[in-house]
Amino acid sequence: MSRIIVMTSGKGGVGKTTCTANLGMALAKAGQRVAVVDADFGLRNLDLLLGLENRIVYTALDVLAGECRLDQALVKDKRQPNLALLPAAQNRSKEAIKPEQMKRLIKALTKVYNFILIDSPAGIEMGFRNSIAAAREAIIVTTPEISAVRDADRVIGLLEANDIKAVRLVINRLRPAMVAAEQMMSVKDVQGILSIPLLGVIPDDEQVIVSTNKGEPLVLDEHLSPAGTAFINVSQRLQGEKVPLMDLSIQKESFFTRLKRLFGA
Amino acid sequence: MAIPIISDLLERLFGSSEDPHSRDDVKRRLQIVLAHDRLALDPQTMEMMRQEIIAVVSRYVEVDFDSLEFSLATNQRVTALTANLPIKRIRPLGRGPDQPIHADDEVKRIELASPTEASALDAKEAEAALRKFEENCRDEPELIHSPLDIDRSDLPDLIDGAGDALHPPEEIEASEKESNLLDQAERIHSDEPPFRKDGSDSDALNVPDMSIPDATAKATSRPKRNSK
Ligand SMILES: Nc1ncnc2c1ncn2[C@@H]1O[C@H](COP(=O)(O)OP(=O)(O)OP(=O)(O)O)[C@@H](O)[C@H]1O
Ligand SMILES: [Mg+2]
Repeated sequence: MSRIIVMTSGKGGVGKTTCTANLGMALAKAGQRVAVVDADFGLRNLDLLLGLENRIVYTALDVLAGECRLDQALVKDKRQPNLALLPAAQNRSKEAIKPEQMKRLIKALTKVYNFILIDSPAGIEMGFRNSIAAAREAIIVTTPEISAVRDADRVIGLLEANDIKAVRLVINRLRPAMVAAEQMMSVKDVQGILSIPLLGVIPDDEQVIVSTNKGEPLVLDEHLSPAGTAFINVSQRLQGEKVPLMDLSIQKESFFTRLKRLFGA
Repeated sequence: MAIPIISDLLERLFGSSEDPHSRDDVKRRLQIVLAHDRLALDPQTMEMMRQEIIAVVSRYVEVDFDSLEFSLATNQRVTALTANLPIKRIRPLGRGPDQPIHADDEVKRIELASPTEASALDAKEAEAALRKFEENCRDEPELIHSPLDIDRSDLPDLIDGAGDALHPPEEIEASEKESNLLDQAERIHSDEPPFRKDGSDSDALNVPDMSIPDATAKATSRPKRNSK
């Protein structure tokens, strides 16, 4: 049976699309047949992060309108043939599609793909409802910040009310040095507050921006950056492997290390 | 000129002197904000509950209105309503705690305010009103049973459903018994959501193959959240 997983957060800009692109690519690399679905109608981004923006011919809306077949709308990745993108329409609003239609699309995808990742838009309105309509699992993406955690909590409640029981947490943009300095909530803090199982922690990493510039997900890098490694770990846990959390701890600097650093030693 | 440089040097050597630890602030704030979010009680309802609790408690003891405190906090699985009601003295009342007050009497005797008035009520006004009430009580003990100006025309069930006013809804357990009633605070805990009692263990998530061996805090269950 296919896994249908929605990536959602409530708050915008916390890394849903980044996670979808990297997890999709990592799962495909691991031999899974993966479809990533952009459910952010009107503000599509997933194509950019995957570097597939120039290959879009049809979108999900065209499929629903009967203007093309589903396989014609799917953009197959050349680097990784196991991965396909179902693009959202860019010039239409989030109301352009209904939950029932989303279910039909996803249902059709399950015939071919064994992982379907749905990139949800921010918010809890129609776009969000569409993106969770067909999902059986959810990955909550949050950052260790007050508004993101609050919104995540709200979304977890909504998922529960919509009978999505397998809800797991990815904490993105963690800054270990700030945690060590007690200026950011730790992984344990955030997980304790949200009280859902932890799927992974992604450090804040400049390479994320470099990779989006190029349209190449981090997990394709030959030498994985910290965030790239973290995404690979998450993808392995999603497949049921037991992978320990990356050690992101930074020891509090001792007096002597500060002294040495100060004098350039 | 030299002093800032030296203090900067010292700070870099010894770390920031004040060490504000905003991490603790954010955790504290989140606990409160999530407790409210998860309960999904609007401020008016919250205020009404507050006044009713005070009214009930005031029948038996004289509460110090200047220093009472109500707060909601959530911790792991349980949301708790904490009421701190410092007590000045016990009221010499005919009615003891095990003599029920008829719920209908209660509702009829409470004067109503319009919803706009109710929402305009800010904390100061509420306190002033309560202080006035307290004074009235002192002059005329019978007034104790017509305590507060609350409009509950919109919310008949809340009160009627509570039944015997002396026995608070099951979910709210007052622990007044352990007290000697003097100068002590009462803690009232409730499972949330407030007017429903169901095991919060029942929504335990079980996703066996997704666990991370090294994750220290592995939650298997969590509180009900607002799903509105
Ligand atoms: N781990 C990270 N380290 C550094 N930057 C990151 C990280 N994750 C995401 N970002 C940056 O944060 C921004 C938002 O990321 P992204 O678009 O994935 O978020 P989103 O949740 O999909 O946003 P939206 O709600 O608008 O759809 C991007 O600029 C991205 O490069
Ligand atoms: Mg996005």
